[in-house]
Amino acid sequence: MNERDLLMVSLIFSLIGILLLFHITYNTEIERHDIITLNKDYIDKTVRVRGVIESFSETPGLYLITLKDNTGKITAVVFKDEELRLRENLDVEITGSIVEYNNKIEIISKQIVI
Amino acid sequence: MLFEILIAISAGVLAGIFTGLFPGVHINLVAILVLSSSAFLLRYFSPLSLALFIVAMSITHTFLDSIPSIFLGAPDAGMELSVLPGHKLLLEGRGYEAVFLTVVGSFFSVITCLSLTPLLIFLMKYGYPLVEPYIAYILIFFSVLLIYRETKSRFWASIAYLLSGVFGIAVLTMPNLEQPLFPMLSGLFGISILTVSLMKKTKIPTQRITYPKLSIKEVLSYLGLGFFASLLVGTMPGLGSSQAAIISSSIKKKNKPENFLIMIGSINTIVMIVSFVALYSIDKARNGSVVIISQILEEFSLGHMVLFLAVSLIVAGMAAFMALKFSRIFSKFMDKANYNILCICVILFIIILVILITGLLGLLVLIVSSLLGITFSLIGIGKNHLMGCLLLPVILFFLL
Repeated sequence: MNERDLLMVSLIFSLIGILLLFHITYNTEIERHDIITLNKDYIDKTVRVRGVIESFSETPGLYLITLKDNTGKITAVVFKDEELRLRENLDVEITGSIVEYNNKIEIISKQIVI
Repeated sequence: MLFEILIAISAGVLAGIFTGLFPGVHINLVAILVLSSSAFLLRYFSPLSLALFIVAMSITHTFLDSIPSIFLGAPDAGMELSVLPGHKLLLEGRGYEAVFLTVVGSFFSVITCLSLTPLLIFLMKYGYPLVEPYIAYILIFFSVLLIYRETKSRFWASIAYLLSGVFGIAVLTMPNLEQPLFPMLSGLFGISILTVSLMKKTKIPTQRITYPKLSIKEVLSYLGLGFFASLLVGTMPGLGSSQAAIISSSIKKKNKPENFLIMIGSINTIVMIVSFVALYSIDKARNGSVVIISQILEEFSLGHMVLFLAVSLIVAGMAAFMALKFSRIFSKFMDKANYNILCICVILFIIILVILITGLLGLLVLIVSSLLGITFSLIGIGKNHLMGCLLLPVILFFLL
C-alpha cells in the first residue's frame, strides 16, 4: 500500500469511526437506579440516579450533595466545572460513577441535570 | 513534624517520578487514592503532610512527563505538542537535549512564578473576573490565528481542527467512558507518530548527551509566552496546559523546536503553580489534585500557599536532577534497543493500558484517534491543529 492509499483509507475510516462514536454517545442510555439498590457491587460502574437535594455544601473545587429519592440517600460529589445554582429540595438527575469513601458509597458526578 | 513533612515530600517525589514516566498513570488517580485512603492515612500523617505529598508529586510529574513523550512518543495531557519537536531532536540523536530543554522550561518557570507571586495574586483577583466572560472568544481568536499561521495548507488545517473538534465532542460527552483523554491523546499524538515512523522505517541515531546553546533573550521570551498563556487559562474551569500550549504556539510565527520545548516544559509547571495561587487568591480549585488538596485541608491560608511555593522550589531542584538522570538512562536504552521493535512494544503497551483503563470503548476511541492522527501526519500539516479535539468542545461549553 502506498502513502496515498493509506491516506485515503485512514481518512475514510476515521470519518466512519467518528460517526460510530457519535452514534454510541447519543444512543447509550445509562440505566437509572433507585438509590437503595446501589451497593459495593456497583463500584467503578456508571449509573444514573434521580432525586431531590436534601442538603449540600460547597468547597473551592466541588459541591457535596446529599441526594435522596423515595428509597434512600447518597452523597454525590460534583466537580465545579461551572457555578451551579443549587438549593434544597431541587429536583436533579445525576449520572456518574460509584466510588467507596470512608466505607460508604458515593457517586462522582459526570453530568448533573437540574 | 518536620521529619513527617520530609517523608511526605520524598514520597511525593517518588510518586511523581512514577506518574511522570508511565503514560496513562495520571496524578489525579494517585491523589484520589490518597483521598479515599485518608481515613487510614490521617491516623499517621497530618492533613498538611498529605497535601504536601500531592504538591510534591504534581510538581515532579510536570518535570518528568516529557520523557515518555520525547523518547517513546507517548504523551500525557498537556505534553501532546512536545512529541513532534521532541521526536525531531531524537531523530538527530539529541533526545537528552530535548528533555533538558523541557526541564530548563519547568525549572525557570518555578523561579519566575515564585518571584512574581504578588503580581499573580493581583492579576487573579482583579483580572480573572474581567477575562472570564470572554474566554470562548479568546480561544476562538487563537484557534483562527493557529490555522492562519499554517504554512502548508490552511484548508487542511481547518479540516484537521474541525474534524478533531467534532471527534473530541463525541468522545468527551460519552457517558460511560472513563478517562477519555488517555485514548484520545495517545492515538492522535502517540500511536499515529509511531505508526508513521514504522512505515517510514525510521532509524534512531546514536543518542548523544548534548546541551543546547541558549540565548537568554529567546529563553525569556518563550518563558514569558508560556507564563502569559498559562495564567490566561490556568484560572479558568475546564482549561489547562493543552489550551495554554495552543495559545502560546499560535502567537509566534516560527517556533524553533528548542525554544518550543522550553515553552511546553514551562507551561505544565506554571499551570500547576498558578492553580495553587488560584486556590488562595480566588478560592477556586482548577485541577484534580488541587481539588483533593482543598478537600484534605478544608481551609487554605496565605501560610499554606507560601509553604506550597517553597516546597515547589525544593521539589523542582530534586525533580530536575531526577528528570536528567532518567533521560540519560532512556538515551542509553535507545542506543541498545531496536527502534522498530520498540515502537511496536510501545504501541502494544498503550493498547493494553487503554483496554485496562477504559475498556473496549476506549480501544475504539484509540483506533479512531490513531487513524485521524495518521491522516494528518500523511497530509503533512502541523499536528497542533488536532488540538481542536480539546479546544472546540471547551469553546462550545463556554458559548452554549
